[in-house]
Amino acid sequence: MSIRVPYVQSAASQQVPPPYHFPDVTVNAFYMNVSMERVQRYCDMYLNIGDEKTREYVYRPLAAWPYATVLYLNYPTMISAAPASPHLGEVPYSDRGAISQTEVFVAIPVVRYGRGAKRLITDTALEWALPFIVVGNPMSSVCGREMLGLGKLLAEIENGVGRYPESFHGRISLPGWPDDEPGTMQRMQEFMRIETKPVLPTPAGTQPPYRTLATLLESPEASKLVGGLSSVSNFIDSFSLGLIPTSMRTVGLKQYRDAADPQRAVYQALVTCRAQYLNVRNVRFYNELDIDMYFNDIGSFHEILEVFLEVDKKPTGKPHSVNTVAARRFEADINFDTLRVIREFPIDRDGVPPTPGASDLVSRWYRPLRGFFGPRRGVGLP
Amino acid sequence: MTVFLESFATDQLLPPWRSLGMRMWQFVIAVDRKLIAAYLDTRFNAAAPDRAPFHYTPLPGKTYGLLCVARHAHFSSCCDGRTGRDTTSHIELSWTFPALRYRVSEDNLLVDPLQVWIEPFAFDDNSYVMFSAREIFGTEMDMAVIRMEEGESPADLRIDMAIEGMAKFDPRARSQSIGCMRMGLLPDTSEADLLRLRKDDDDLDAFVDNLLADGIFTGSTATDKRTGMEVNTLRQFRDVFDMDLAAYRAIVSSTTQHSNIRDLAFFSGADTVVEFLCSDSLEETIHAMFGARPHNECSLLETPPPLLNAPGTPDTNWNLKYMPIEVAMVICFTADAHFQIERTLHTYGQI
Repeated sequence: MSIRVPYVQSAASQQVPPPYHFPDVTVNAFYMNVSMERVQRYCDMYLNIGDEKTREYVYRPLAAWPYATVLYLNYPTMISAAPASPHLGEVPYSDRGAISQTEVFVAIPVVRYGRGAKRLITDTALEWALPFIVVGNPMSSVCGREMLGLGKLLAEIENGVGRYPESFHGRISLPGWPDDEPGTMQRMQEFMRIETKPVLPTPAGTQPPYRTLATLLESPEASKLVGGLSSVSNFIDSFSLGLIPTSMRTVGLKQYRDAADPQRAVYQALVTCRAQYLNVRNVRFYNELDIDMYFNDIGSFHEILEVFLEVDKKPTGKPHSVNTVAARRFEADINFDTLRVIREFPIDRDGVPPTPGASDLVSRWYRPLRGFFGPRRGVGLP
Repeated sequence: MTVFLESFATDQLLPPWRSLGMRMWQFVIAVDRKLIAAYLDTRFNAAAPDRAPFHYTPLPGKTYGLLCVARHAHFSSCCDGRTGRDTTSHIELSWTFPALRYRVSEDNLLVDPLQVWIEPFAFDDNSYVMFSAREIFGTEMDMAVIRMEEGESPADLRIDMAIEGMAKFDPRARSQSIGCMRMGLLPDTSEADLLRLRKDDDDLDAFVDNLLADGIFTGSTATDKRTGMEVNTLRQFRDVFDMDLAAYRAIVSSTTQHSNIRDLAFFSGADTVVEFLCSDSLEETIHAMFGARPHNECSLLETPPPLLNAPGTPDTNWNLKYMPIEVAMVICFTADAHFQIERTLHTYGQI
């Protein structure tokens, strides 16, 4: 049994405990092509950790979905629904009030295949890797980084209406270095920008709307159908006991450096979280041919871009334009919960045996069945 | 060795760090031994579930701490093998106090006392520095907007800080930018004589000896017997499944060295204003360190907070109660600073 190390509770801690509830979130989603090779490289670097011969799983891109999604989210209200900690003796987080923030991330679907015939059936799962994520709220960035294994950077994010009513304007500025010269000072720089025309139908576009995929769905009936499908999706999620996965599970590498030897890790684990989209409504589409999206391929930003974009080996110093294949806007309530360590990796230590690793790779559909029919497991149980 | 998997998201400035021309203001503040002892007991002396082979106690006698504000105009990483992407600027505010760290012998005796510095909280205006401080050596550092202005005369000093938080906890409350701290010197303040300040107060005299021993404003070099301030921090990260548990918890030792000290000046605490603004977000932090104190309806500093009018800064709520803190003396200097993480003293749960 692993040793339980208490966390020193503090009302001032920035590590706000989940689960979280986010009502009335506005989501602007932009889909772009992504190289399967780069996704596989990301998987091999940050998810397929350890010896391939002994590893129980392998992450691969979802070949049927060669797209990355850039999501701009505006959270007007973020609530920690964590129960009061009996040890804290302070105001529960849920009673303290709400914060708001903007967030932008790139989501790419990856499939975790269990290795071997049995694991292929019981451990295979679809998850979403977030190779890039920025937020505008410092508390959110601290929580994401230290608890969830999401590499949230703190950014200045513009997220609102563009030049035209019903259009979208998004802009991210990040701290970065304009070049790799020693001594160059870090400064805030524009990382990316998106401009759209108004949602369809609109007379303001420059590209003929009949060429966009969204025309298939632009009729009011079709829009209602999309909204209806979201409701159906939520219904299925609630009443299928999780057997039919409909919500988004993210996967991230949670790791900490050794303090004195920063190249060395003292903790590494894969963490998954569930982002459940409820009450999806007001689904509208942009003409993807009328969208300007570019990333600034300068200095230290190049390292970010080469994770998910086809960029040159060296920074070009110019904006890198990206074509979108679809774009939409909707509103939803989002629950962020069911956080789980699915793989804790052994850590080498000097002079003593490595820390024991642990696995909890069972896929979502099989988890309740195993819990019901399988042997009793859990913290404190033999 | 388990290799840390580098990515742009974790590519912060790695230690050791160097700050050239660091401008430092240190406010010497008396602290309650009971409060410090309680902090040390919960953070460093408690079993978790194993005990660290160290025991921390407050210094004997009247104890002081340092509220430090440092402007790092040229702050860089000196990590081996890294060139470029290594320099930034930031302003840092931190609270630190000295304590005695004893080694616990095999016979459970407290031996080999050593003065170390404890840093319960800190604020910074640069997210990269905050991530480095929190994730590498474990300081409870939060983001803040910090404005530090110095003029021709000492009385021109103004330091204002605001954070994102709640003025009053309430299920319907919204987080906002709230004033957190104000510092400054009163009009017509002039430099004070250190010898006179020490002569007037024996406890303060002993504390200044401590500062001198660590070379804080006299400087130190690697050849000194003591090579600067040894800072001990509790580095901990929540478990993702059980929020009462830590996925990792350790005590980390680091060292701060000052050299090339210049522009050294001292001021009397009577000429100084240090005020915390009272909000629920900061209440525990302030009360844990400074206890409950009387509040004022408005600031003792006459000028309006510069943050209120500064372009590019958020609208900040300064309409809070002000809690003045008595200052014993003020030290200010410019120096080059070197920060080095020495080692992890103890990792909990790895028996």
